[in-house]
Amino acid sequence: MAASTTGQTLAYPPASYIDPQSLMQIQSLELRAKSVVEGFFTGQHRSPYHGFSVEFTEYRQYSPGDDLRYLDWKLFARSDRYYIKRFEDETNLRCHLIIDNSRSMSFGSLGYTKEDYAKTLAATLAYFLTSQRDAVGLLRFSEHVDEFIPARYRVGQLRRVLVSLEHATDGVSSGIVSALEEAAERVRKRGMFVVVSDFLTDIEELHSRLGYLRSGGNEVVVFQVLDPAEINFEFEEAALFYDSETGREVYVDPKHARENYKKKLNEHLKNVAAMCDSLGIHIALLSTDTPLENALFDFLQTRSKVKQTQRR
Amino acid sequence: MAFLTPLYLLAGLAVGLPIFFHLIRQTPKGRQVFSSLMFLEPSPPKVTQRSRVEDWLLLILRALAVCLLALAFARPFMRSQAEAAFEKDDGRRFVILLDTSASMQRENLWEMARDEVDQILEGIEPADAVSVLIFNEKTSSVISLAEWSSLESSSRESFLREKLKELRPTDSGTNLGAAMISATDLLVEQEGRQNLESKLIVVSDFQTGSQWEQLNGFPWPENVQVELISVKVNETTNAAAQLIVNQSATDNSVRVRVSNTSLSEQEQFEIGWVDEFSAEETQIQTENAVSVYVPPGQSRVVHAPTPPQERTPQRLKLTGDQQTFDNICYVARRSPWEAKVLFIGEEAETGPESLLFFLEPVFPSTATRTVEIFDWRTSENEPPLEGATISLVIVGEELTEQQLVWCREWFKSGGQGVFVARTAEQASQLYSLLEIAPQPVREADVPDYEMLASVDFTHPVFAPFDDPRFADFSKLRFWKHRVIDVDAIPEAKVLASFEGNSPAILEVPVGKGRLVVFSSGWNRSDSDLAVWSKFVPMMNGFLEYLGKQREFDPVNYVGDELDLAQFQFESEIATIRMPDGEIATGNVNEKFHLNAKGIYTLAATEEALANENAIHLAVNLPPAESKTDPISFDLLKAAGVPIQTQSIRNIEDAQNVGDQRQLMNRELESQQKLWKWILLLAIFFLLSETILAGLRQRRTSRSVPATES
Repeated sequence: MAASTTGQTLAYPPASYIDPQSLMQIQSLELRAKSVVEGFFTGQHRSPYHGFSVEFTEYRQYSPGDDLRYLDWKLFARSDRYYIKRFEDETNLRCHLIIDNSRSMSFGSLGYTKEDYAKTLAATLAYFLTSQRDAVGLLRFSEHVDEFIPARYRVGQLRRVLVSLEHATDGVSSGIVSALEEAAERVRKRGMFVVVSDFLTDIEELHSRLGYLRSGGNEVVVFQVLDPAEINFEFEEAALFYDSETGREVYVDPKHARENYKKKLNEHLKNVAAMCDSLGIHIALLSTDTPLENALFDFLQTRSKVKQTQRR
Repeated sequence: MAFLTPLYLLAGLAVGLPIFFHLIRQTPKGRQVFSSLMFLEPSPPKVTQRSRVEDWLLLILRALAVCLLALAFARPFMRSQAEAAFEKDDGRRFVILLDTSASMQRENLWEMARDEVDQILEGIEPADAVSVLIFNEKTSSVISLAEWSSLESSSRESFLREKLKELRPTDSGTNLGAAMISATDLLVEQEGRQNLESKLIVVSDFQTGSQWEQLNGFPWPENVQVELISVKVNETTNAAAQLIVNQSATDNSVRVRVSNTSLSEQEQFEIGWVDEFSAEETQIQTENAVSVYVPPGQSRVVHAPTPPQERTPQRLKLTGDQQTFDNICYVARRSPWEAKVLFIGEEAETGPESLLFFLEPVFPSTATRTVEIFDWRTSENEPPLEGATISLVIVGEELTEQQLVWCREWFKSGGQGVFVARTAEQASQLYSLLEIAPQPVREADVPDYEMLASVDFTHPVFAPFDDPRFADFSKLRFWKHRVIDVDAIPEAKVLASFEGNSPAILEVPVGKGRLVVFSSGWNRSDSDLAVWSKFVPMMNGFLEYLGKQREFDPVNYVGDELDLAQFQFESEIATIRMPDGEIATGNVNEKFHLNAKGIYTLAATEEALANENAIHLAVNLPPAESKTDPISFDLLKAAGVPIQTQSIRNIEDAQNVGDQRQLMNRELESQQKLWKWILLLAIFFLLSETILAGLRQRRTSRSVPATES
C-alpha cells in the first residue's frame, strides 16, 4: 500500500542531481534508473478507482439492482432512506510508458541521443513505479508499435520492461499518431500514460489522439525530449542537412536559417503546450542536458496535483 | 556547310547554362544528420567565391552535348562542289515537248498549249538551258539546248515565242512514247553533268491513241524528272470515219468504220458525200446521207451512200459530233487496170494440153483490174486489137511470117511479151524474133523428170517467194523442155535454170521492150507448172511486171512513207500533186513523206497528172488519232515515268524561287541526314557525362563522410 504524502509540498530538486552526461556513462539501464530513483518512496499515489477499502468517500442513493451488502443500514434506521456507501479504492497505479523510438530520436549532440535520454527516463519511471508496487507497462513505437508490454505488478515485470528498452532498435519514421491510437484501444482499464517523444510532428492529429487517451478517463503526462542543438540550432558550417526520417537532403546555411528555425520551433512548442493544456495534460519540455531527477520531480509533482484535484 | 533550320542554332546559347552551374555549384563540406527538416528551409545557392570552374572535363562534355543538340536541330547539310557549281553557273535544263498532232486542232487546245509553254518560259532563269521539241509521228526540234545557250539571254524568250507563233498542229498522228524517249536522250546526252537538274516537260492532250505504250520498261535516267501538262477540251464527243479497203471485184461500194470515243455524249451520227459543187466547202449531200448509231466507246462498220458517178476525188463526211478535225474521210477510187493479153498461136491441142486453156483462170479480173485475153489465130492477118492497148503478148506457137514481123515491131516499140518454147523447131524461131544468128535448139533428154536447180530471187517476179516458207520449188517437175543456148543471146538474163544448168526461164531485152522466154510450156505434157501452187502468183507477177502495173496499198495515212518505186514510173523522177494543189517531185528510189491529209495525184510527168492513168491516193488521218479520250497519268506512272508534281510554272516570283531552293535544300538534307550522326555523338557525350559524373559522385561520397555527431 502506498504511503501517503498528501499535502506535502515538494521543493525544487537541488542542484546536486546527477549530471545526465555522467549518468549516460553508466551502461546498465537498471543501474541508471536506480541511481535516479534513490530516495523516493512507494505509495504516493491515489487510485482513480472507487473500490472497497476502509476509507469512505460518499453516499449514493440506492437504486434497484444495487448490491444490498453495501446498503447503510444504520442510516436507513436513522432516516428511513436507502443509501449505498462508497469507499475509496486505494489500489496500485497502472502506468503505461509510451516511448518514441523513431529515427528522429536518434539525434544527439551531447554524446548521447534523445533516445538514450528517453529510455533512461522511462527506466527511471518504471523503476520508481515498481518500487511503489505500481503496475508498469511499456509501449514502444517507431513507424508503428514495436512492442507492447501490458501494465502488471509482478516479479520480472521491471526486468521485461528494461530489457525491451535496452534492446530497442532504431525505427524509421515516427508513427506517434497510430501508436497513441493503438494504446487507447489496447488499454481498456483506466490508468496513467506517460508519453516520451520529441513531438516533431503534425499537431492536429496529435491533438485528436491524445484526446482519445484523455477521454478514456486516463491521466496523461507528456515529456517532450529535445536536444539542445535542436533548441538553439547552433551549427556553424553550411551543410547538406539530412532528414533521418524522410531521407530528404536540404542545403542549409545555418547563419541564414537559424532565426527562422528558432521562430518556427518556438511556435511549434507553444502550440504543443497549448494543445496539452487544452486537454488537461501535463507537459514537461526536457532538454537532454536536464538532470533526470528534474523529470522525476515533475512527475511526482504532477501526481500530487492530480491527487489534490481528485480529493474534495 | 549549310543549315535547314538555322534558328535552332540559337539553342546553342544554352551552353552558358552548364558553365554557369559549374561556377555556382557549392560543395558543402559534409552532411549533417538532423532530426527533422520541418522547420528548415533550403538556403539559396551562392556563386562560389573562388570563381573557378570546377571539373573541366564534365563541363566540356556537357557543353559539347548542348552544342551538338543545337546543331542537330539546325539540320545541317553539305553542299557538294558540283551542286554549288550548278547553283552558280549551270542552272537547270529543260526539254519542252509540244504536241502538234492532229488532235491538237480540237477547239482551242493549241492556244492553250502555247500559253502553257509561255508560262513555263516565265519561270526560266537566265542560267537555265531550254530546248523545245515538237512531236507528232515524228519529233523535231524548234530550238536545241546548244542554240538556246548561244542566244543572248535577253532575246531567247522572244525568239522562241516568235518561232512558236509560226507553228500549227499538223494532220499527223501522235507518237508520245518515241518523242519522250528521244527528248530524254537529249537531256542525258551531255556526259559528266549528271548532277544537273534535268526536266522533261510534255505539253499535250495525252490522248489514248498517242502510242505511249513503248514507255513501258524504258530505263529512265535518275536525274531526269518529267512534268506532264495536259490541255483539255470541253466537248468530249468525237466520232471518226475510217475507210475500209474494198477487195471485192464486183461490189464498188465504200465501207467505212465509224468509231466513237468512250467519253462521248452523242451516239447518233450521219455520213454523206461532200457536195464538191456546193458553195459551202464541206456541205454534205443530204439526200442520200446514211445515219449511224454508235454507242460511246464502240465502232460500227457501215456502207457509205452510193457514190456519185463523176470520177473526181471524193470526200466522205461524218456529222453529229463535236470535234470536226477527223470527220472528213478521203476516198480515191482508182479506175481498174484494163489488161489486154494477146495470145498468138493456133493450138492443135485442147484442154490441159493447151496453153490458152490455163490462161483465163490464171488471170482473173479483180477490183483493181480487168483482164481480157485475145487469141490471134494464124489464119488471121491482123491482130484482133490495136497494138497500143495491148498489155502483154504471149507467143505459144510457131509464128507466121506476118506475125513474126508484127512481133518484131511490137517489141521494138517497147512491147512486152512471153515466148513459150513448145518444140525445138518452134523455139528456134526465137532467134529470128530477136534478129540474131540462129542457133540449134534441141529437145532436152529428160530420163524421168527434171527440176529447177536455181531461181533468181532478186528478180521482181520471184522476190515475193524469197522466204523460207515459199522458196520451195522442189515440187515442180518438168517432163520435157528445150535446151536454148543462152550465150548466143546477148543480154539474156536467166531467171531460173534446170538441174543440167540449161535455162528454164530467161529475160531478154528486145528493143525498148522485154521478152520472157519459158523453155518448157505449162501444158500438162510438158510440166507440172499449171498445177503448181505458185504458178498463179508467178504468172500474175509476170503480167504486172511486164504490164508495168503493181498493186499498191489503197489506204494511206498521214505520216506514212510512200514507196514511189512501186508505181513503176518510166522516169527516175515522179511528179506528185499535193492535196493543196502544190506540185512536188520525188526520186522514185526514195520514199516520199505524206504529211497532209487529202488526195495525192502521182504521175511520171506534170502533164501526165491530168491523164486517166495518173494515180490518185487518198491519205487520211491515222485511226489512232481519233482516240481522243485522255489517258490516265496513273498508267504512265505504272509504266515507270518519273512524274513530278512540283510544277515549274509555279516558280514565278522570287518567293517561289526561294521555296524551290528551300525544297532542294530539304531534299539534300534528307539525303545526307547528318543530324542523325550528330545526335548519336551528343548521346555519346551525354552517356560519358553520366558515367563520369556517377564516378565522381561515388568518389566524393566516399571521401567526405557524413558528420553525424
